[in-house]
Amino acid sequence: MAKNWWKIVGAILVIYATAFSFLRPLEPGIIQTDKTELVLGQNTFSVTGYNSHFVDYSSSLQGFLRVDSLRALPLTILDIKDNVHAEFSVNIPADIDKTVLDLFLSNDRTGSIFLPAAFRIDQSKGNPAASNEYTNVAFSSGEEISFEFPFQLRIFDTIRNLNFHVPMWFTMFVLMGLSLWYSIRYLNSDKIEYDLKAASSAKVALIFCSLGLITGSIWARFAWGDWWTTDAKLNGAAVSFLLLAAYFILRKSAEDKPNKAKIAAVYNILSFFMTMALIMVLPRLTGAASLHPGEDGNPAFSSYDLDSNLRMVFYPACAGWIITGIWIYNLHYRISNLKNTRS
Amino acid sequence: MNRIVILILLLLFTLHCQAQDGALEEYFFESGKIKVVIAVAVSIAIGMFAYLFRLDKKIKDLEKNKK
Amino acid sequence: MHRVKLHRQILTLIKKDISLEYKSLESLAGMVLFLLATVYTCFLTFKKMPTAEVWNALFWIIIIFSGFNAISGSFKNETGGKHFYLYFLINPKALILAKIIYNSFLMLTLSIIGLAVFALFLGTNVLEDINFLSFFIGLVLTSLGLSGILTIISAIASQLDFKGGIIAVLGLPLLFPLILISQKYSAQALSGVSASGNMNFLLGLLTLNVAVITLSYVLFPYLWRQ
Repeated sequence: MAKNWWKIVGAILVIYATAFSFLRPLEPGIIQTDKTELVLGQNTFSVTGYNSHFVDYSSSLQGFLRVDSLRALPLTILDIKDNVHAEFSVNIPADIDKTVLDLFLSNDRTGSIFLPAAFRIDQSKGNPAASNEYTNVAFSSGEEISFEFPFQLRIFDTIRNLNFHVPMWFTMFVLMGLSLWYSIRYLNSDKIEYDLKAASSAKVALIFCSLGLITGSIWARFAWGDWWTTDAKLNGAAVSFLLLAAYFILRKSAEDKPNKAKIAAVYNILSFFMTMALIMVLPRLTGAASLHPGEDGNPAFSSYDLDSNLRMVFYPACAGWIITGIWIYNLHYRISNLKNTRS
Repeated sequence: MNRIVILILLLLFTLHCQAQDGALEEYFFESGKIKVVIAVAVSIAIGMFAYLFRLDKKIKDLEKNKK
Repeated sequence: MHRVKLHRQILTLIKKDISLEYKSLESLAGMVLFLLATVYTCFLTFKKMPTAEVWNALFWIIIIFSGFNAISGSFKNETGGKHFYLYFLINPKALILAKIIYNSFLMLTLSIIGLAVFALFLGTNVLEDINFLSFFIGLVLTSLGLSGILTIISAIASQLDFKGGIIAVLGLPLLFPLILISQKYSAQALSGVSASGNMNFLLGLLTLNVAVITLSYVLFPYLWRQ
């Protein structure tokens, strides 16, 4: 039991991260409005919020359309249907000098929530009222909640996927590094156990790579609209998958050769460095825009726009999955070692 | 085993084709896209269990050789 | 013979390769014909002249596959009986460097011929603004990098039984970074940017070449000494 403590740590971390990812609520926010275009004069529109407590805190509910950093147009509440649906009206004056307005709502529970560029103004339509005074832009903060996932447009609840999808890639990198390390040791020592270790860790890396691709693909479909997008990070993902798969095809086709392990080790080292070139160097060089967080082609994850709350779950999730990956690699190695000594 | 994989792929493909109608969107976008998170977590679980089955098979082969 | 300096060995090996190639010109002719046939296929399938973007992409794809075609067999003379003879005589590091240098000249020749054939069939209007010096530097560096990767891959494949299919599976993903950079570099060169104005990609290509050749140089002896 004393030797197994790290497996228990891994299991606890994964369970903690998974449970937390599902249990904690998302910050309140605005998902959408029923129209995106307003005309001059009187307009009514309805808003779909998220965790927005329209009914629960209806007495303090108020809202405005932000014109610029100082001026705002106040909203009148027409109807509050439920906690996430409400109807508002607004009077757009004739002298409005902006065409894109942001929507802000607030109550005592949620504080200010907003939808950037919610409305465009069509100045050729509608009959504006004689006058309309602007109010000041004012923000309010709501109740402090101990842990909430940040609310982001289009992403919404899928921000929780960060704790499932990204650890797959980190685990793959760790296992690929392990595989590289054992390949180098094999070339220096000629011990067959190192070859088995390199192959086992590459195998488990391939599993995590596939899982990362599948989860990423599902997430991309519903956050960005496509199963696969042109993105620097996706190039890295594709090339890691292809190279890991090619490594096993090479091993299979060199099975009866005396120097099979050497060929495999050489190819493994070569492919590791090429993957790194693609993932680390190229995005910085081309400055390709990435849909992933950590823009500017910077693949390092320190720049992920994680808030401190999210980190409390994200780091344990990564650590837990890495430990689990190493555990799986260990099982895989022991089985292939048994098979090897038997035959 | 391979046939099952092909079947799943075909199913996914038809699902993709239907997605053009927006039915898939409607299903997954309900209340803040939480179902996408479930789909992701479930696919990891499926992957892990598929791996367990493979491991099981390998151990079975080893036991067979032992006899 | 082991005392012979590395660069002498390299020179001798390159000379040997050149004389072998010269004796059987049909293999060289085969490579050029392959290039011609693929470019003509593009000509047939395109109804109108491609845009600069498409032209550039097509050019690099065809160069890659010509490279596979030309370099995949580069160790066919070194396996079998002759292998043992060479094994005792020659430093493997000299062998890999000689092969890389020879192959990169082969690649450069092929890509220059490719450029000419492209201009012939797919039109010259894409090449109107081209900065030739910059484009040529890109060709040289890419040829070097291509031959660096493909030579070590063909050394790996030469130890296997069926070489045909596997070399593309092994080699193509390894070429991604090189092709991405050189494609972006040459797109700039096609629109007239000079080499000094394109320093970022040029340095990228150079670093990649140094990395590839160092890796081949370090790893090849392990393949050679079985």
